[in-house]
Amino acid sequence: MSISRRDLMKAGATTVAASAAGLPALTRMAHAKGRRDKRRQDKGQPTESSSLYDPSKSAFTRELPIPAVLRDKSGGLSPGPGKVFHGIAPEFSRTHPDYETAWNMAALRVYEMVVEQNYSRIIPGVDTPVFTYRDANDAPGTGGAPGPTIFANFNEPAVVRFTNRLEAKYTYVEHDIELSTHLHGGHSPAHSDGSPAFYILPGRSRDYFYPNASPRRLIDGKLRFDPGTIASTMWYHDHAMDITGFTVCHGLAGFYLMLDELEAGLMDGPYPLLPDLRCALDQPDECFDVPIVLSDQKFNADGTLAYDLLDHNGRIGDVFVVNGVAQPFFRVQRRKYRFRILNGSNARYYTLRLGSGSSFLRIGTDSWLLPEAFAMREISVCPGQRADVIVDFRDAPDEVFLENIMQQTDGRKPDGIDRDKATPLLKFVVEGPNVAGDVGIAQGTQLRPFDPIREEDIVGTRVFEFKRRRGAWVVNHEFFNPLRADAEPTIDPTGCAAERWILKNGGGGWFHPIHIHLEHHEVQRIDGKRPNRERSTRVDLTNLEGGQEAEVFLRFRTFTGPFVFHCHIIEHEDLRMMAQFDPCHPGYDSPLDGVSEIDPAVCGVPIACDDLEPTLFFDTAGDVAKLDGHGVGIHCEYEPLEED
Amino acid sequence: MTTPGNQALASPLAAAGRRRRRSDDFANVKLTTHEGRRVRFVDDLVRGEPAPTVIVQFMYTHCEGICYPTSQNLARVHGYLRSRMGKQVQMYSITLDPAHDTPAALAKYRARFGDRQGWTFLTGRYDDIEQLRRSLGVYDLDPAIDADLTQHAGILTFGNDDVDRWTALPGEMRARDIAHAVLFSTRSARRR
Repeated sequence: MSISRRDLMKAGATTVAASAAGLPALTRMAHAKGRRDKRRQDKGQPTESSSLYDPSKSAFTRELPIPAVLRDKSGGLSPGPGKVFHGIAPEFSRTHPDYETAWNMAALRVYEMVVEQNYSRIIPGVDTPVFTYRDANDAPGTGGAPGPTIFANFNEPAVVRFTNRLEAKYTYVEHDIELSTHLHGGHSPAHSDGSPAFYILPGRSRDYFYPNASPRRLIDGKLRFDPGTIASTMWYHDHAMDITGFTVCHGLAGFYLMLDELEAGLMDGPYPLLPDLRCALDQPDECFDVPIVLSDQKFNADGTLAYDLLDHNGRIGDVFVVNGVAQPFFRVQRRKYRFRILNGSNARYYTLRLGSGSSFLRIGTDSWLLPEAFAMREISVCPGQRADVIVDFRDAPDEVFLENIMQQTDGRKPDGIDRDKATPLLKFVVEGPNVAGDVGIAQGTQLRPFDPIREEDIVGTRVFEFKRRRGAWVVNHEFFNPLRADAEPTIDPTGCAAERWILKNGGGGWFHPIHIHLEHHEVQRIDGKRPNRERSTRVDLTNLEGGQEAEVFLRFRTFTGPFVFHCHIIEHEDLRMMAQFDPCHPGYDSPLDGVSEIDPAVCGVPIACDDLEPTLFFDTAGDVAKLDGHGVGIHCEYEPLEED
Repeated sequence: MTTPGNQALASPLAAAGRRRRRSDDFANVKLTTHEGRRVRFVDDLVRGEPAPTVIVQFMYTHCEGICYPTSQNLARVHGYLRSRMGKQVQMYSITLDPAHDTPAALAKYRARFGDRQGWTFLTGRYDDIEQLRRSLGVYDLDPAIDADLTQHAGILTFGNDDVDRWTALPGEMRARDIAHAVLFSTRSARRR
């Protein structure tokens, strides 16, 4: 291949900001910030994206971009880890028992990303402003959406510094945007988990500490990393309070792939079972392990993304996008590929099939490998879920389409599968003769053993009902309060004890995919029935159809909270369809009593009044209470509450 | 600190035109205040030089069970924002039942919470208010639920037109959290 995929990507598929001057007139139309004197002019209506994107002309004309792998920060972090405005997790210290005894801190790697606006040709000929995670090793203005793929070896901890450059003056929108990065599927300290109010404020930085380890459990008399819980396909995305739908659809998402000995073993040897992931680091053109994020987009007439901050139902787009490009193509050899498919849409459900009629070989669900590979003809993924699959292109026709057959018109729920109405998302251009002896993965190949949580491990049951109430969402009749722990599970030092959570959809016909942070969960039953095979082991997101009830088992160990669990239809989440749990050590109560502040060292909040202006915020840390207590809060922003 | 890359990208942004704002889609309907003043929602209540930060609630005076607690909570929010009310921040309570809620009825209801500066109650034509409600995203996809007016009394919609940022939250959340969210989400407006 004379031109690498990476070169192609640079040349046109993703972000080509520098050449903006040479773009067609359309692209330069109207991204300008409103000028007051122009307020009453230009009543142009928002448009169906179809006026900008015509699939009959443009679909499958551009190559699938593969995000680059994030590189170690050249020269290290400066200043050092934790020496930034929002600090670093307190667990990044010898005070945490796992720091000395379990985490391989000597192998620590440091990375840095800057979150900034750039332009992306999601559709041909139109430069759309998007938000990007840019590798700080690269020049400003080179970031793409989705962001770089983060690669981690198991138990090689990482610190990733995120700097927020989404101040209004640097973006096409007129307000600052606060951020909070969640590592979805990760087992990370609360400070680094992307709790919605643990912000990265505009102009500020936060150091995220990812131990890249799994929870530990007493196995054969010794506290060991729980091998069944080691994640493979995680993703990071923005999670800031009330505005996540806006930031994520603007591109703030990327893959986070982890590799442990077991999975590397499947890629090693003279007869490997899986394509090697590690080639992504140095030979992306020869890599057969490909991350794929699906999203749907809507555009305004001026080429900006259409996003209604007051649409609380769920954003459904009319342009289908894969890895940041509308309906791309991907050249493949006649061999087996691994595709890590992520539903990165805000509210759209997909059911995927191969237009050739071939099956997928399913090898993973959400963040984890399955115990055993098996064939599936159709794959359903709700927002936030992942499907890790092998596609075998041997004997395939020259063109194979990845198709969506799930229909959906609003954010309430999908309309259902229509097999006669398939939307092609991605075209595989299949080339060359069959490749013999590529990888050995097949139906029945053993992958990651599953040692289920057992009934006798259960120490308690909690019920959470997710429901619509007066136009908003409640969990157990309560609106979300970041200062309140809705569950205080006990941290079991043996890592064995587990809880039974009953997740109920309170009805009304809405679907809600429920994502629980921190630990995987194991679905026992949905409405009394065993879940489908691919969702019956380790998952981090369980869909609840209207009125459904899921019984799941999960464990609490390693980290104290707060951690959230919430609906992953992001517009529902932004209207705070969210609750919070705080794992506590035996004998301790959660400080999250609904009123008190959290230790500001944990969430990295400024505590002095001077720090609050102009970046006033009161996050979970409850600065108000803190400032009230110091008698300095009043003149910052607030009046003392009058007596009723 | 790394130089933000966005500065280099100013040229396409500086090109002509004005971006469409969310308030362009708000119904610019005629309303009457509790004092009998005639106003238009967008022109007179949402926009300004500078635009105020606005908090919009839908209510009606005889839905005691649901509207009153939200109104009471709004009074607490008002307490937190007192020094800004009527200046930087305006609160609008708009009746969903204009047939009953005349300006005089609204003035009487409003007085139950004291004379709070910057808290205006509004009435108008039923169809106009329905259109306004929908244009603010306060509706249910299920027509049967949408017809139940009590379902719309629990949401507060707030934002600032100058910075074009809009948010909605349950009106029964802790008043301090609502006050915080209002100030935090519109903070860019205070720095212009």
